[in-house]
Amino acid sequence: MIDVRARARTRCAQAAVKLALLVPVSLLLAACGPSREQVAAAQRATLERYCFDCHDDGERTADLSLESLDAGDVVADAAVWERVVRKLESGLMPPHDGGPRPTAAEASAVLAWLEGELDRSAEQEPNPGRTVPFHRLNRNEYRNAVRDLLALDVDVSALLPGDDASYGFDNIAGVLKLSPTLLERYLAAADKLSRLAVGTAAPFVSIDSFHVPDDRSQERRLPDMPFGTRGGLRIDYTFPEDGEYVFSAALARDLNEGMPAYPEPQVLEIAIDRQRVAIFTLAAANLLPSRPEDADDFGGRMNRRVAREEQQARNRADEDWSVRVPVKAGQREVTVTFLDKAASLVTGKREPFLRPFPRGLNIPEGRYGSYLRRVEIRGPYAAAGAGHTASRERVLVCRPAGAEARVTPESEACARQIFATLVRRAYRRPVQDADVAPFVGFYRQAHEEAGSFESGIQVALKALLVSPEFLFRVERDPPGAAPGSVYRLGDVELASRLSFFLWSSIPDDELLRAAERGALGNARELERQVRRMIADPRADAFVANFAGQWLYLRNLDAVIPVQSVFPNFDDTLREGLRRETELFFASVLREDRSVLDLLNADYTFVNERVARHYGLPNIKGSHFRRVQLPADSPRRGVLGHGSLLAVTSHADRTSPVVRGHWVLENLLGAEPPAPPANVPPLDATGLTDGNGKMLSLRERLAAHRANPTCASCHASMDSVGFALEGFDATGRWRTIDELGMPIESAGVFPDGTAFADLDEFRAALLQSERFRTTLAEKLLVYALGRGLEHYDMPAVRAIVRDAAVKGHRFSELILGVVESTPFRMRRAAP
Amino acid sequence: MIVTKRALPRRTFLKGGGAAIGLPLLDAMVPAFAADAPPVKRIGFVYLPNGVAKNFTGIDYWTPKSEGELTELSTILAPLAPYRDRLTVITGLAQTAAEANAEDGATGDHTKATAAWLTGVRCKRTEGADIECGVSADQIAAEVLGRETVLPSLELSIDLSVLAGMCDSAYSCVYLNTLSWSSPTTPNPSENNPRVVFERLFGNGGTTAQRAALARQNKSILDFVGQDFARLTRELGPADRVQVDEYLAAVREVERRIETVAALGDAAGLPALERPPGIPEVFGDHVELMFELMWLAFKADLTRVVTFMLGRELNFRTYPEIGLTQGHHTMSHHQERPENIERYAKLNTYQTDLFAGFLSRLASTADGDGTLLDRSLFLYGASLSNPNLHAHFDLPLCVVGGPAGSGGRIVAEPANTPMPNLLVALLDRVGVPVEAIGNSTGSVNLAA
Repeated sequence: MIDVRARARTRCAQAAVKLALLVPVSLLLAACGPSREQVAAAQRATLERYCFDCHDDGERTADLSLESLDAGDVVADAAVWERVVRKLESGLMPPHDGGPRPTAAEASAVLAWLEGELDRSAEQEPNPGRTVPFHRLNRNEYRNAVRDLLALDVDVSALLPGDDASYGFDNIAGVLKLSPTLLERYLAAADKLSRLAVGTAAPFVSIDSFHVPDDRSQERRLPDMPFGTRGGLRIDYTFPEDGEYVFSAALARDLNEGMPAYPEPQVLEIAIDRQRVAIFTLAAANLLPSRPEDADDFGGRMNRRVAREEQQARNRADEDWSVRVPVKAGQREVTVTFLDKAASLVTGKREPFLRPFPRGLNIPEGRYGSYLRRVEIRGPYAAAGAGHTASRERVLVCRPAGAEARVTPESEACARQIFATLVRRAYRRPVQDADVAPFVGFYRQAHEEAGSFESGIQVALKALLVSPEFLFRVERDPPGAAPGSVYRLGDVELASRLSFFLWSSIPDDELLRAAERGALGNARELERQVRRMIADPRADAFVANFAGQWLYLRNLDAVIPVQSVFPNFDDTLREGLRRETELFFASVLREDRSVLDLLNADYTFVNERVARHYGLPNIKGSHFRRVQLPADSPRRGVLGHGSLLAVTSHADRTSPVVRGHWVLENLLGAEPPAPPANVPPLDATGLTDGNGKMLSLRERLAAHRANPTCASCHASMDSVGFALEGFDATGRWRTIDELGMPIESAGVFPDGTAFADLDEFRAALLQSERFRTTLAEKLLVYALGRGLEHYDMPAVRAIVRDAAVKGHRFSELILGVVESTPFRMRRAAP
Repeated sequence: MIVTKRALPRRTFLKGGGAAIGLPLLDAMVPAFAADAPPVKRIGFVYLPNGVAKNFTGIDYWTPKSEGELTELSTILAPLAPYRDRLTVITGLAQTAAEANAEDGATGDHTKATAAWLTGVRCKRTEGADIECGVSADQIAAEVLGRETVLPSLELSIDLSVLAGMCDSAYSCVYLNTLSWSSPTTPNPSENNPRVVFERLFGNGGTTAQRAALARQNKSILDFVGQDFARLTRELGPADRVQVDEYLAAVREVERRIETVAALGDAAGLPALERPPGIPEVFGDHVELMFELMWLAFKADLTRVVTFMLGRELNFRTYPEIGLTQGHHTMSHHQERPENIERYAKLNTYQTDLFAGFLSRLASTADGDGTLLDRSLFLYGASLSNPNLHAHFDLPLCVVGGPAGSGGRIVAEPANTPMPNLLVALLDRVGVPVEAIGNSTGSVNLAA
């Protein structure tokens, strides 16, 4: 794509470079050439020439007149000028309607002038904006905070509702509110989590049920499962107490809810921490000979039958597949999986990954072996106390000696010590006696009531987990701050911003200590902390939450391609595609590569399943490994990832519209214009033209765009989306489309840059500053938990500019965000 | 004062997800009714996402062919045949607050449709903190009907997973995820996990004494949370206090709920309950289980106001169990083709089938001198008519419930009558008269 600024900058910078090597670029640009007034007058003349036709006081197209603005005082109308910058920079204005357009040099001169003025003003008078004072932790952050505070990793999605998203992310402060219902849920969650952490008995037996996704293939060993097994389920389960637990398993049924018949026995193993606790066997079926005409690609196996009585018995085979065993408290890995005695030779043409058929259709069972449907864990029965768990180690930093029926000075001192430690971490700040006192109060009362020290601790911990300063990140204006004034955040607040940005969690002890001693003001120490945090495994949360939402990975669960068109898509592939993108994004992050690699890396991560999907040879096994892509591979960067391609498709076909929309919004930061009122219906003539000739998707969309009202949006969305047409709705490479028409991936960017194919498309994206800017914007939204305003744009430009000097390295982008005005500063309440 | 009497069967089974749930002691908690109680005192709103199978050029699987008396039902409404004499189909209503206007164009049609359904208010186009809609009809009802129940209202849904970046043209996802707004800036989150609903309704189990102790404990923790919010308020400037006031109101509301439970005392006692294990895999099982919980909540008088979304606008769920393998939203854009509309009707009929199953439970459950259905009223329908056009007029809506003989009609309102007129009429039927809701201009005459 045309990068209108690059040339001007180079030219200008070359002239000025000898003068002042260390002057910031914005000043450099301003220092180049005639006086400010002359520049403003000249640029206004350019605007008048190309923009005033529509945007003068008379026309006011889109309610915008540039005529009345004072070009000598750009800052006075910063909001409007930032819009002008964006429209010019992305080449959307002036419109491509045959009217006069500025030359690249003219456009870049206007941009250099506007950005120079805006950025200089931002440097002189920073405007960091104001984050809301109460920022509730979202569900992911809550889970991670509990994990880091209590050494307790519990899937809280069953305990708390999901959070609404805005600006593309679900950590936006303004949307994260507290309703009565949510508060009730926090209370219930705190009750459960505090019991799990301390190990105090719940008043009831809990039941947890785990379903295997219907379309997960269980023909082969799954990632993270023991060798010599196939299919099944792995559950990381937190056992609240030492005691006995009941594990039960149910097998998947066939289309008629009958137990499928297999010629070999099917053996299911339940293991805890890889120690077998039970084995259940579904006996081999007594198969009646199949009719000769039933012999087919599937080895003639499918249509064999069993006698009616035997079938009835089989249907009840797993009725009593349950076992009660003692388990020690704490988090343990429960695996329920089939023993793969002899990996049978696949004789059919069909891939063994085929997902099961839906219920209700008269298609015979086609699996090679039994599938697991559901596992249930109940308990504890005969509970035998708290046992030893990591959480108890973490929480109970001291224990009172001797009898503990009543509160003693010693036990109270111990409780005080426990909560002095916990409250500091939970509140992410140094604490006073007054902060700890309420929890000691809860402890005292509950200890007296229950006659147990640990019950007292549990109740106080429960209160801590619903306390406002735990559930909310609170940012206070410094005492005496003038209303509306701008101030630098304290180190303690900064530590929280850092940890929620990079870890989606609370600061660890090292970060909090650094903040407490005021070390984060030191740029070198701040950078050291950021790099340490990126390297830390907790930064996986950044990959899951930032990349998961930016790249729509979270939507993969909802991707269910029509199986008659895409019979090979199943849950194993879905998880594989997700894993690929996560590993890839993490590698760009952790290896500190250029963010351009996100679009252009010559490597990716695959296992056998994904490799087969992509047509990459010689990859065996379920583990993921890094592979070098062939030089001519279309899969370079995320645009070749099946995950992204699938989530931007319809169930039965690709959608250039959705893909184009994604590229515009998430890579180019250009929100497609809003559709006008009274959108007419889609053309009902559908698939053929007037002469009965089949139309390709491209032709159908072209017909759609022939209508001017549709064209206003679709012209840009569709033609960008065509670049990815070489990938089908599940991300496989293809040369013909759903209708057998040859793929054409030529198209045009909104700024008029044409591309002939995917390679040219990618090359244009890589050249465009819009991609780097958009990524910086997304990072800043995610880091701040608020949408961006016009006064944030100088910060965005600074982030991009500074990172460019250092090869667009990911860490430089993150450091740029961390050092930016809106991240480091805040405006006091008005 | 709630008088209790024994009316529930000793053992009730919830089906769903393959698990049977025993409710051994539920029978202790069915309240008797005062003689002067209004005949209908429960209200439910059941929402169909993505419109229904119809177009404006002659194909309509929703609207019955009858005029005046409801002699003939349509394909989609056929499952409601057993309740024909308490079914009223209303035609001609429009959701003008969701229609395109000069400001926001035709963007966010699905979002505006959801947000306006029970509010009659055009939601504010924003993705930010400044979300704004209107108080919804269910919450107006809950103000009155919910005073004596554990939960003033219950908000249920099927799809809840929020899709990253996939919400509607610069509208916050909040608008798509619930029908219920307790204030113009406070959406009530809906819940799709049967187990969580169950726990909200019946607590976590345990003995009466244990639950009483837990209630006391929660109460004192909430006191602390309230005080702590107040402390933080003092540290903040006045401009920031508004937000905290909202949270304090939330704290007080939860305290009130706990007190209500405590006041019910043994009546709410459900020792050794077993809970549903989670979200069933199949849509139909999931919906049935949620309806079952709704039935239980009505039966035990734990709430009298429910909203239930049988899916979220724009969802891409497939329904392989009835042979529909295209995404819901995709199917709804039927491209005006008869075969596509017919296929979509199959889904709408399936939805009505599930709803009818629930009505049959209500009709066979005694409540005072009559049945639960006699004393419950439901709005059933969608906020888009022809989904291919995102049409906000000629909405598919019907009211079912109340005493036998209270319906059996088609009420033809003049074209483009504001849909909230019907909400006004509904609230009147349950003894909560209101002047207006959203952009209503009057009331629909539902009287037979």
